[in-house]
Amino acid sequence: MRIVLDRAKCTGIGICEALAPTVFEVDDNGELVVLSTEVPEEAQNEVTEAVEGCPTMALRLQS
Amino acid sequence: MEPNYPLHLPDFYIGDPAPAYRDLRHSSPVHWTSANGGFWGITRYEDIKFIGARPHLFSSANGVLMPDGKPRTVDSRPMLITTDPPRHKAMRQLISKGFTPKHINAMEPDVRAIVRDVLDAAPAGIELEYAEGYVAKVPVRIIADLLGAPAEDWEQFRAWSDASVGSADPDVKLSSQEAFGALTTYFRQLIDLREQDRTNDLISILMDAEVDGESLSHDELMSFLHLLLVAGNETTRNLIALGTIALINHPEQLRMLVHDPSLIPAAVEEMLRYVSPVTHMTRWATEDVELRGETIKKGQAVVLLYGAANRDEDVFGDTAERFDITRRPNPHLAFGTGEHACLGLSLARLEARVFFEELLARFDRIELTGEVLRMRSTMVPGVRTMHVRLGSANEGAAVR
Repeated sequence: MRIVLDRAKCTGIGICEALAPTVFEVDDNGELVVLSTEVPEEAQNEVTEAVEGCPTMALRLQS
Repeated sequence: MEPNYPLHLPDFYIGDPAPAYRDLRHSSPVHWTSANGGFWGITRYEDIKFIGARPHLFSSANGVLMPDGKPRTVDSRPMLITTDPPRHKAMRQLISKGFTPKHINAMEPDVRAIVRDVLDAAPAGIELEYAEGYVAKVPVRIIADLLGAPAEDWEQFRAWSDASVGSADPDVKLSSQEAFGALTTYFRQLIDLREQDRTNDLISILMDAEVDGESLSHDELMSFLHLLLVAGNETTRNLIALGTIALINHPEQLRMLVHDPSLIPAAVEEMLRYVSPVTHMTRWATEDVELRGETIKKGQAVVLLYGAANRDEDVFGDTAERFDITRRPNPHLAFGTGEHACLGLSLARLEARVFFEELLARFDRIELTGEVLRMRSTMVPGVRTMHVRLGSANEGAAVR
């Protein structure tokens, strides 16, 4: 599973980072950095929650 | 017959709106209320997500408060919260840099020091007023500190902030216009100080910030400051005070939390869902939109009732109306949804988590000793006063 980020929609609020800090990080410029495009095995639940919990629907999963 | 609920009145929200929300979700999920010039009440989770994701169809530019029936005028002081795309994103990104999880987590020691200072003054075993006397002190100090206001001004700050949102409440002495004016004067002084001498506080950051190559206007800067103060104060106070009441009303959950403080973050999420401290935000249709068989006409208001969505059985199952601090996942909409979702959510979570960590480390019993007096507001119907007795684990036997 890969994580796809739509930058046009992301507002950099960092809900994903709070849920899955090993995969998402908002940098000092307020831009979201996806640390691992492939969903790590051990972080699957958190990443799914982060994708579903994004208020702007900027994240999706692609198999 | 169509159900008839007074969605435009504070009393509706101060009582228990859950049965009305349940009825509306099932019998009239896109519900017309003719009071206050008319508006649609939206109660289903899926519909609120749909509307929040479409700012081009459902605009914030006419204001986000419950319609009051007065003619809409374009606000001369555009606020972030009432700005539509594309400008919204650029403005928001300026400020969101200060609210990322990383920045907020770095504030934890400061937040804990403020919470400890407040709770160290709380005596065990005797009745005390909890909402105004203790809870309210925490968020206003944190926001004022973030804005760079000196500590000696914090209490005055709080009075103005309370008054500027409590206009519907006859118990608030200062009118909201007076309070707004006082805050404006105060902010102007803070800005003047920074003109000479920038620091690393939020005001200094905003003064140097640019959107599309232009600095923020004085009015924009001023409305940012107003918004942050108002948004960060009453809401968090309401979450903690009503969250405490939820624990009091569910003693088995309180016991569980006392025994296992690692449940506190999940408990805070459940308080957010169950309490929904901000009852609604409003959007305005920019064209005719069909939704569940109703036509929302261009120019009409839709009121997104987050508390109703947060008990939607389609998302939270048959335990949707139960307070369960172990609920997971908990994809509540207490912070709203879409590009206007609450900017301060990481800070609100941090404040509530630290508050309950410190509270429950000191006291393992909380009981109400009198009536709960609420704020008469449709948007943030918080707790004005509530009297409680806190029982300490160690001294409990002596004061029981």
